[in-house]
Amino acid sequence: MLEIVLFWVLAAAALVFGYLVFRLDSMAQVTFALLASFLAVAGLVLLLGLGYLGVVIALMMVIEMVIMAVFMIMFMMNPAGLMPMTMVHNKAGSAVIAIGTFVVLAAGILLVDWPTREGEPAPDPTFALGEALMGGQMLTMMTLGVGLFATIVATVVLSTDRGRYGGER
Amino acid sequence: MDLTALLLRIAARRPHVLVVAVPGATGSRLALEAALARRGWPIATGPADADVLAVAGTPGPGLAAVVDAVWEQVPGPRARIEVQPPADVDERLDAASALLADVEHQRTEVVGGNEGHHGGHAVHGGHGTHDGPAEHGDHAGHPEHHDHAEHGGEAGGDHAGHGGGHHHGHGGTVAGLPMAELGPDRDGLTLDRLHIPLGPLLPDWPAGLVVRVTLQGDVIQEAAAEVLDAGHAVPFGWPSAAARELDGLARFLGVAGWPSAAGEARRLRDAFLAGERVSAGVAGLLRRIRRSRTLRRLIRGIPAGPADVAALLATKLAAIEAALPVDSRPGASPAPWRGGRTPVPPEPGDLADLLVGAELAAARLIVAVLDPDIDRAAAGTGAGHG
Amino acid sequence: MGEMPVVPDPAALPWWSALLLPVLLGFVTWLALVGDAAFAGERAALAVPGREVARLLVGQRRRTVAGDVVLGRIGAGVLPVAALLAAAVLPLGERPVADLSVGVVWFNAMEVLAWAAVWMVGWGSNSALGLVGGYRFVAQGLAYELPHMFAIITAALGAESLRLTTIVDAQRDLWFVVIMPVAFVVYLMSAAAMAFWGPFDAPVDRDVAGGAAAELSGVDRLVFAGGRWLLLVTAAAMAVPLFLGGGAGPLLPAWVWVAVKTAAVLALLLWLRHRFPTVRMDRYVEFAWVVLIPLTIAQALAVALVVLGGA
Repeated sequence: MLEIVLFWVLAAAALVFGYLVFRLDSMAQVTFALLASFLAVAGLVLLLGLGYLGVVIALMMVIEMVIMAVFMIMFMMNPAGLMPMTMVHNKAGSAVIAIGTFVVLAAGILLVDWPTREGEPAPDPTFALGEALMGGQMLTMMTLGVGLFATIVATVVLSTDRGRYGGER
Repeated sequence: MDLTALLLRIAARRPHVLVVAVPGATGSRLALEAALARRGWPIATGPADADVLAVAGTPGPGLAAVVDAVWEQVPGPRARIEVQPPADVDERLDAASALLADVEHQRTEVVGGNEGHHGGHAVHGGHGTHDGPAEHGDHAGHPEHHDHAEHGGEAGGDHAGHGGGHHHGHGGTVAGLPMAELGPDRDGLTLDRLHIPLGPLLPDWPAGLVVRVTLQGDVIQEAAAEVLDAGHAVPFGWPSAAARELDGLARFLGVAGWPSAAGEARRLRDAFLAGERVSAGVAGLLRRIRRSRTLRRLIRGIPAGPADVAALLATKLAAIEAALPVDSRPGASPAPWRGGRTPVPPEPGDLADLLVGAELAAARLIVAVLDPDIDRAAAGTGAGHG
Repeated sequence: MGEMPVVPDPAALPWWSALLLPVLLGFVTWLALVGDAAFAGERAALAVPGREVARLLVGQRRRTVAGDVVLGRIGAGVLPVAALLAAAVLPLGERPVADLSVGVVWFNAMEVLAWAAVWMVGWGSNSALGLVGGYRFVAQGLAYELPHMFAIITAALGAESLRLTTIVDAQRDLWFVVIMPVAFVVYLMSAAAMAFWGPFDAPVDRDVAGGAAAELSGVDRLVFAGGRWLLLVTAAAMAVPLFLGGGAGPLLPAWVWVAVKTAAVLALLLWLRHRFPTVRMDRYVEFAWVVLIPLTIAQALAVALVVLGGA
């Protein structure tokens, strides 16, 4: 019962905040409305019993939205004030696409003949997820991950050239 | 039992005090700071944090207007005092505390016009510093201008952030505040720029100094300095150079975010002025500062004229050592920071040039380490190229 | 590889402990405030928190022209809520309020909310110094968050679990602080940084007149400052199950040991602030990325080798 209530509350929150992204007229508020929408989705994933995925969605989205807010506002928006603005371009077209996509996906959910569950869910979904995603390639993936990360760090370090203003020291 | 009255009484035991230093009235400021340290009352960082607005000395017309504007921004419960003869300090502070605990007074105060919107501080960061009546006329053309007078009702104060007549080319107004304008930045991008005054009411800031800066992000693009009420003040005669240097050192350490060391410097200054023997304490503080590799790393390489901030600080420390009484000077302690020439405190105009290209935190450090002698500037040439 | 790990039975406290958690955390925070006042040499240190709270409770709330009140207030409110949610996975003694299987990630996700919160508060006041404070915290987050993640993941790696009670159990023989000292030190630094405390208080520093909090007064300031203190206490307390063996210790019951160790970590963090000047982020980011990140990765690698060798 509680789960059903939670599901509807979170689903509605995800949609309402998603809608607000296009209705609010401040870029900062829009960013955090989008974040709220993502957090509601993270809650839905948690409801599915996928603890790790749900929490990681929340973690990554907060970090991502804060960085996005900084960049958007830094490059596009007046940091001094809150000049009314709109996030919508091509209003009619985007509305048609959005509503059309929603209808198609919702119809798909209702019309598809879903299979019945066979077997039990894994005792530790996090572990099962890791196995399913990477399987025997774990070592390759880990090496790749560390390699990519080292590249990111090295690139940033090399490009900043001693200090924030280059040649500071 | 009236809960509000009870809370007011408890709160009045330890109010936060916003100290307004008047150029020349350094004696009053020292007495005030010493009294606050004795009572354990914190010094407020700005009007929002303040319960008591304490003006040390008699402000000239420019500073008085700023003080009035800032008073509008102090949230209730609040009290305003003026300390003139240093001997009066305790009496005034007690009166302020009593006023803060006075329910009837604070109720009328809250109802009377300090509610809701506080104007002014919105865009400018400098807390109520404003351009004075002369520049107020600049804004006459704004259709929304009367709008601000409603918020907070501090005529010129609202426009503080946009002073200096830099009103060209901003893109309209929001809520009566002008939008930031665009300008090229050092990377060849075109980014927003913002005009704000630094001072005269920032924490650990030289008395009466105002630096109008143009900011992109937190980097200063343009700067112009002036001294409020230049020529109004009589320079303060410090009884000893050591005390004067310790005072400047305390401000520097405060800006560097080292409250325990700053408090120690202030305590030693007060003890020194009271005639106590403090040489061992001063030596200990100097050793502590010189040994801090963290501090050295943080301030090294910030250009402040021919030397960097680290070198200037080393000079300052050496000056304190030299100004101590000879018999009690600390032994040959290793001095890892090699100082440059003895710095002459700069004129405000030269100071402004040094700030261009620095980010806000570095600019604060530069101003603090150069410690411009406002009293002398006030008596002498007056404003720089402001 | 291949066989599923055994999932231990949930070992959480009864549901009503969730109601007690804010009280407990508030009490510890109160003590920490008294300790800090005593550290700073205040007279009547015992009375300082009470006077400060009373002052902010009767204080008038203020608004700035064209400020973003919605974001500003949400931001301030998020701070204490995030701290409480993060504290839900803290083992208080042997068991936490909620024994999540992904406790470590949950803790990280909640504390990162503070990142958004401080920026929102700084933005909300529509004041240049407030915004500078908010942006400083974002830069600080970029500096501390990556080493921080590697530090806490190293502890999880040592126990081969993201569940905090399992991590505590894995330290029965040897506290993790012994085999992963680098991760512990980095965790302490990032704990101070996430609560913008001590040498990492640039976002609310005096040089920008209070930074993100520059325009807050009354209850707004109380919620912001209180949330920051709760974050500091939670972050300090989390070092105990991650690195200091949780409630393990001779003679005394587990909850006493948790309290004693938490107090020790808190005292260390309070001392840090008195010992070091504020670290400017343009200098710290370089140190974090060039020195701390490689160090923490090397630490994680070393621990991984130990774990593989022991298996």
